[in-house]
Amino acid sequence: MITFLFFLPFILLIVVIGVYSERKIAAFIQSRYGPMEVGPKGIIQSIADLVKMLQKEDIKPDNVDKPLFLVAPLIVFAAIFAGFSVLPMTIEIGGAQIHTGLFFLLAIVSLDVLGILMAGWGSNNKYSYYGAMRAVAQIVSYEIPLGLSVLGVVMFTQTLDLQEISSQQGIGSLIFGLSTGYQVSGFLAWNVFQMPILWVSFLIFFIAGLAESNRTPFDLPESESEIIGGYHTEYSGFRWGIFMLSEYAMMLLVSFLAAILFFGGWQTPFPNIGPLKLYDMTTGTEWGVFWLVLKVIGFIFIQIWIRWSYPRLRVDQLMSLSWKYLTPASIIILFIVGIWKLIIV
Amino acid sequence: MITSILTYIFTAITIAPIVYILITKNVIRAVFSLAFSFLGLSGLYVLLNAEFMAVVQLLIYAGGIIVLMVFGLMLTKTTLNKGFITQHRSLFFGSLVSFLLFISLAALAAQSRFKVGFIEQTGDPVAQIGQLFLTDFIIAFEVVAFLLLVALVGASYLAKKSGE
Repeated sequence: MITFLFFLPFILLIVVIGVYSERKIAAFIQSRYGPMEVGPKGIIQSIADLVKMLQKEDIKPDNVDKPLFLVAPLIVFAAIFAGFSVLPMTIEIGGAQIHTGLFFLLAIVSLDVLGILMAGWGSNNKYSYYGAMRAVAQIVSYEIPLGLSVLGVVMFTQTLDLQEISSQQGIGSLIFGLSTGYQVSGFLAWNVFQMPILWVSFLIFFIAGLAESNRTPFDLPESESEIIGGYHTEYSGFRWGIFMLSEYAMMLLVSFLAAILFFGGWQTPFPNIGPLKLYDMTTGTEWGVFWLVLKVIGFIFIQIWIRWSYPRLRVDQLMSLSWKYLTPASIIILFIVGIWKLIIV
Repeated sequence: MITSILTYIFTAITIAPIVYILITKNVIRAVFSLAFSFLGLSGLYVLLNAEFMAVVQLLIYAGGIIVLMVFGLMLTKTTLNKGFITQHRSLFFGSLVSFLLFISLAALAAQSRFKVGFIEQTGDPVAQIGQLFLTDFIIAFEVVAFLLLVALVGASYLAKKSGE
């Protein structure tokens, strides 16, 4: 239930804010103003855009494969949205309580490929077709480094349940998995500090996550200059809006996962220092949501920042990055984490 | 109560696309409806308390096999406008053979003693499956791993051949 009551409005809100902040950050990076006309500093610009988009005619071209064309955006969004069902927000609000949480998330999100293929095929358009082929080849390839980098964390925490992974990064007495005899809390208990090799794992995860959500530098599936708009070329109005929403939902999901797996989820960054109980002071239901959302917004900012800093990769560079660099690197990290786990047990 | 209603719903989601595959002449729509059938099947696994199996079903069949099939279709030479249209051939013998197969499978299913009802799940199923793989079923596990490795090496060899 929390998925519908919290995450659906949250995604919509993030999209409205995200589009505005994306344009503003882009403008700042490129030394220009960005949207300025609608509202003070152009703050209502994305709401105006939203209203315009909803009023547009829903065009269905004559030669499309009707059922596939119509259902495709819904499948893409439903697959990504289903991934949100297992995310824990705080210690009380844990999402769907399933043992295979993380595995389920990766499996269900990988189904968005089907929707993209439907859109590309159903549109009956060369550009859509090539866009879909590129998107699927890219998403399927980058799922491997993504899955392997996540596996390192799973190996270290020995659970697939995201709530369990978050709770483990709270208060304890371990550093690098070794018992210290002192109380360790705050950011020192996060996975990236508990197992420093996971920083590399996080980098791989983040790069693969960018590719999964089709963000620049991996936006080949929708590169405007080569293939118009990729698999959503033929879509307009609300159906195009759903594709847009899915892209932002995927960004959000990747950011949530990065925060939960590597940076402590809903845990506070402040440790208890002697009598100064900063950890206890900043822990609680409201604090949990606050910290998690703050981390997520941070990651989204980095994604936007990267988008306006790097050019797009070529197709062969894309493939060699995934198969020749990220995949072997994540296998090596998996091996190191496994050995370390064997030593300290 | 709600479980049995859900069972009927998921059974319908599993079977209806299969019936559509029998009727339709459009191959690409048939492949996508097969994906829906796999989704229904994975729902049935969840209802039977086989959560891990359900997720594997999603990942391997709905996510992997279907994409492979669509890619296979798209890479075959075709005109983009027409789509893949096939005919219904040898309707009589086809239905005869499948009817006989159905009769024999139904007879087998009626004879066997399936355990009806739910198996209570205790503990973490993923950990239990992992431990069983590395103890009781170690030989089967290693053989499968070796088979997959051989398939991978073979696939990359074939890809290299055609590239040069």
